[in-house]
Amino acid sequence: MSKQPRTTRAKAGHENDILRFSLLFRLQHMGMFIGVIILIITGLPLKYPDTRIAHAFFNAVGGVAVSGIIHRVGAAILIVVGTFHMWYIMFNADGRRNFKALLPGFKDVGDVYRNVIYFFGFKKQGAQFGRFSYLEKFDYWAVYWGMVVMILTGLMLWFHDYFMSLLPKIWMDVAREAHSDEALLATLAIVIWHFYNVHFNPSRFPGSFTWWHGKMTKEEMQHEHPLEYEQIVREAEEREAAVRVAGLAEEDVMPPTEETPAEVIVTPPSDAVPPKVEPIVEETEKEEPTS
Amino acid sequence: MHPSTPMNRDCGIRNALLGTLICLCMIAWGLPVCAASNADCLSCHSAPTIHKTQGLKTVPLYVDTQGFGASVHAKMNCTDCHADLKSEPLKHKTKVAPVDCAKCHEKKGWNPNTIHYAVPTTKTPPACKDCHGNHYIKPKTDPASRTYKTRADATCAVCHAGQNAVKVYEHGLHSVMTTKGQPAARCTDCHSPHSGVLATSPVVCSMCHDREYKQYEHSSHGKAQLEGNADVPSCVTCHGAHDMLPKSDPLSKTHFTNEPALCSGCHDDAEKMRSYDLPTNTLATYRHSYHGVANKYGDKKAAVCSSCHEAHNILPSSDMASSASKANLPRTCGKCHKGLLKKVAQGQSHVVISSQKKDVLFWVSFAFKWLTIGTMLALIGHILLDLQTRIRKRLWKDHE
Repeated sequence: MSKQPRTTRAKAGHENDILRFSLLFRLQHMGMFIGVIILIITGLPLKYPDTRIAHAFFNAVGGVAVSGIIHRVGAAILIVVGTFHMWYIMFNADGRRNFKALLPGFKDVGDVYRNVIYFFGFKKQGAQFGRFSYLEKFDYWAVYWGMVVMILTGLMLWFHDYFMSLLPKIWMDVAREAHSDEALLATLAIVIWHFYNVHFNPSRFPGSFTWWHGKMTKEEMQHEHPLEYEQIVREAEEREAAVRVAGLAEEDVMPPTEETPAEVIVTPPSDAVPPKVEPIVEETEKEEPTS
Repeated sequence: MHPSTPMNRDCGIRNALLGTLICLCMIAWGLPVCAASNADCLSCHSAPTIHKTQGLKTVPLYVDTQGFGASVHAKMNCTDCHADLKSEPLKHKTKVAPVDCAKCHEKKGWNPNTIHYAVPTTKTPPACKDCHGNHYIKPKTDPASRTYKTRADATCAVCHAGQNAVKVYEHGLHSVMTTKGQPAARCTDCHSPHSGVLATSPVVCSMCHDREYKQYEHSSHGKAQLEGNADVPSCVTCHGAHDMLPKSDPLSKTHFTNEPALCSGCHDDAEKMRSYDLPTNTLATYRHSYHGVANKYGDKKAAVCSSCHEAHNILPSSDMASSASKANLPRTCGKCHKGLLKKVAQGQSHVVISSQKKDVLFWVSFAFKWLTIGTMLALIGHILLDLQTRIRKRLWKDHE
């Protein structure tokens, strides 16, 4: 296995690297994993209080009350990230674009079918993915559902006195049960599924730095997201054509794709559009969100 | 045999009658009367050196005139107590019968059921004088008395020192308080020296802890205890006897870290609970709750059994007066959780998720269980298929 040459990994600043995730995108992921790691470490001992590791943990941090405070810090981070994400997918062009690409479609059903057939050896090639594969979409929607469940039930448990005055006690028990059960499901999904896909998968082991710099090499893109890569190439060609036709400086029409600094991606593309070249720019603008 | 048994008493009376008859005869014969005055006795016994030899032991026979004069028995004759010497000549026999205090003091509550009275004959049972002294007895209100409240424990310790119960008692709350000069129970307050009341009876504790006893008396435990039910806890079951410690002491059975084990010791005992139709999963359900987990890891604020069920006036939750009754729950929970309303009573307190009780809690738990199992099977299946495909491709490529 070690003889096999691996696909080269993207490094910050490499010329052929493609920026897949904007800074805002990456910050959300970082904020979330910091919050989630804190929550798992302080939460699971509470779910399994009779284990030796829970005993060691609570003794190390100084009791459940201290652990509870740390847990609420993690919760606050997650709530901030979740709230920000709502803004991001509604009011930010990059966010809207990513959210649309994350919506499940018929292609995903077909991709699952194609991959399973491929896994059983009936086909020579597996599914070809666009911007987000069904694996990544599953990750996203699992987190989406998890955030809704965990934040709602978590707030009920955080402000227990207030919610107990509103609801019968059985709903507090339900909140606790759901919080506890969903915590386990989320932890297993992260540790088994997400970690396999981004760390333990033989072509990834021990993991890449895409979460940090947001980039992928051309080879990685062609291998893992060929359809997205094709689209990026097509868009680049269209842009070149636009430059040629209008004689504009390249940076004026640069959309949020290749080698673009993340800060530029944040600003809505319409800001960058000079009013002179209306017909051609409109075309590129339209295509962007549908990717 | 003890001198106060009826048969012996009769003999005593008979002897006394016989003695009187002999004396009368002696007077008639014009002989000197032997029934001596105190002065007669002290003519010999005030000499400090007077003694007798008993085997290898030297027994002093000196009586301090002043000391006797200051004792409660100052006005009595020597022969009132040493009655067997009444009929003896002044130079009397050396083997004197033990003094029978019961002759006068029997009426004052000397109960043949006391533990000292029932000491097995293989050991020497303590006599009155062992605690009260002999010639120089002082009233127990006199600080010089051996039975004065601050000295009584030392009097008991003459024989009982070194016994485990005494050693433990020395570290117990009662003893610590008395050494600080605070009012607290001493040996004889619980172990009534003359009456036959058992020291473990709640009635004994009630003499000082009246408020707690009144609550206990009307509680489930107390009512059963008074009916003679041996299953239920009395005061000492929970608080200990000699080892009784304040609730704040981590070694106390009622300390918040030990209380769940104390209560569940009986309440999770299926054998004991069989005839009461009570659940036997109290500790497990408590430990499942956040209260139980926080308590396990030393959170003082987390509720323990007595926070909700009370300690002395425990009543079944079906009783309207119970702190755990539906009507009282908002107030009981409200001790810690502010602003609660009646709704808090809707649901279980010791939560059990069971398929027999198909409530919303069960279905949520059920749904998550199968969601987790289903998701994990699909995901792990996908991972394994992916892995085997990669390995297969690799091997196939290598063979090529």
